Amino acid sequence: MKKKPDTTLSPLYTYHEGMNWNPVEKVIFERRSIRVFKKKEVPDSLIKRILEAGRFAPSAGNCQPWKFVVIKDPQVIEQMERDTIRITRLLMWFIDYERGPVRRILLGTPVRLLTRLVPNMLHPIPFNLLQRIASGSVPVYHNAPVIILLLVDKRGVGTPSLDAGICGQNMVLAAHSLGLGTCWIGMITLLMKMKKWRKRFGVTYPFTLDDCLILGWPRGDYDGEIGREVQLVEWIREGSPQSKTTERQGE
Amino acid sequence: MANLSILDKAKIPNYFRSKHVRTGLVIFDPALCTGCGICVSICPAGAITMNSDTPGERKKIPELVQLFHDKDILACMACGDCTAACPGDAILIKRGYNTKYYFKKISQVPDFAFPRKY
Ligand SMILES: Cc1cc2nc3c(=O)[nH]c(=O)nc-3n(C[C@H](O)[C@H](O)[C@H](O)COP(=O)(O)O)c2cc1C
Ligand code: SF4
Ligand code: SF4
Repeated sequence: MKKKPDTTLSPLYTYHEGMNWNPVEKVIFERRSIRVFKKKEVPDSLIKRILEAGRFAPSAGNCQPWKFVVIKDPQVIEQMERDTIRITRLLMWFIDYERGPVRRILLGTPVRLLTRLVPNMLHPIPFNLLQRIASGSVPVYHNAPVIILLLVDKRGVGTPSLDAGICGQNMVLAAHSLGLGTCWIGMITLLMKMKKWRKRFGVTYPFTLDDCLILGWPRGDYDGEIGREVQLVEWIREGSPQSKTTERQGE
Repeated sequence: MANLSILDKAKIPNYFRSKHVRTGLVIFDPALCTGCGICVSICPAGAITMNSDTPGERKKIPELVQLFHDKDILACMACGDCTAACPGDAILIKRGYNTKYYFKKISQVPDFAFPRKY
């Protein structure tokens, strides 16, 4: 097939300093998590095309330690939303130490001890999101028409969840390059506390589920470049084995 | 030099005190904002609301929601999604998310930069 010439983008496989983004880079930099979707259906063929990008992701030992579940039934998604909110409310009842002075005194210290045990779960950002979900201010699955569950086979080589992350991001980038919007939703871990849902989705040994992708047609044009914090990168270069230099990446 | 001091490693910040947590912060340019409300609808943290009508104002302008009595604790995590979605280019990330102690950022600095064409 003939390639369409695109004058605004540099071709693939070439590099000179300061050149424009190529199409792959453009998708990487302009992808934003999308949380507002049109009601319009996403055709099965398009979902399969995206799954294909996941199927061909690299993995340790080519183990492919993943399993996909595609959810397209709005009723199921609605039930997932309801149950995730329910669990979030229950959890926050035990750990939200800001609601009222009594809770602050009683819960403050134990919750911070608990945070030390599960710091990733109770990091301030998800903690805040849990509060917003519990109070009904923010939805969990954002009324997406499609959810792809990314189950991880624990028996994979090395660190299977890392492989699954790579696989998922492959699908995310493919989806955005095709005009769809996506968002990773880690909050599904809460739903996985319910046996009913684990059984329903086949999240039983050897599978686990920590993340899913929501996708659909974005309602509006929300992709675009954003600013990010400058990253401190350490360089170890030839000739100065003892010293490393720190360089500010991005500015 | 160690990445985190012993105190940093041991202490979990109090999430509701701005002495411990520096939340994200975005600012809205009233001259560029059209009051369309897109930022309110896309913010993952529900951090933005349209401010109530002030007499004499022609349009509503978004503002960050104040969640708790510590008014410097906001829901914004500085994801930047609103800055990309805003059709008027009216939003700027002013400050990133960071905490003291256990979750302190080590490999980033507070300055923001767009993707740079090296
Ligand atoms: C593993 C993972 C889990 C995430 N979970 C959620 C989630 O539960 N809810 C949500 O709104 N966003 C979630 N996100 C999206 C992040 O908030 C988002 O990627 C981040 O704010 C950066 O914004 P950007 O994706 O637009 O660049 C998740 C992202 C990742 C990678
Ligand atoms: S998206 Fe931009 S123009 Fe629209 S209300 Fe928000 S700041 Fe104003
Ligand atoms: S930067 Fe992200 S979290 Fe903060 S107000 Fe904008 S969309 Fe919301």
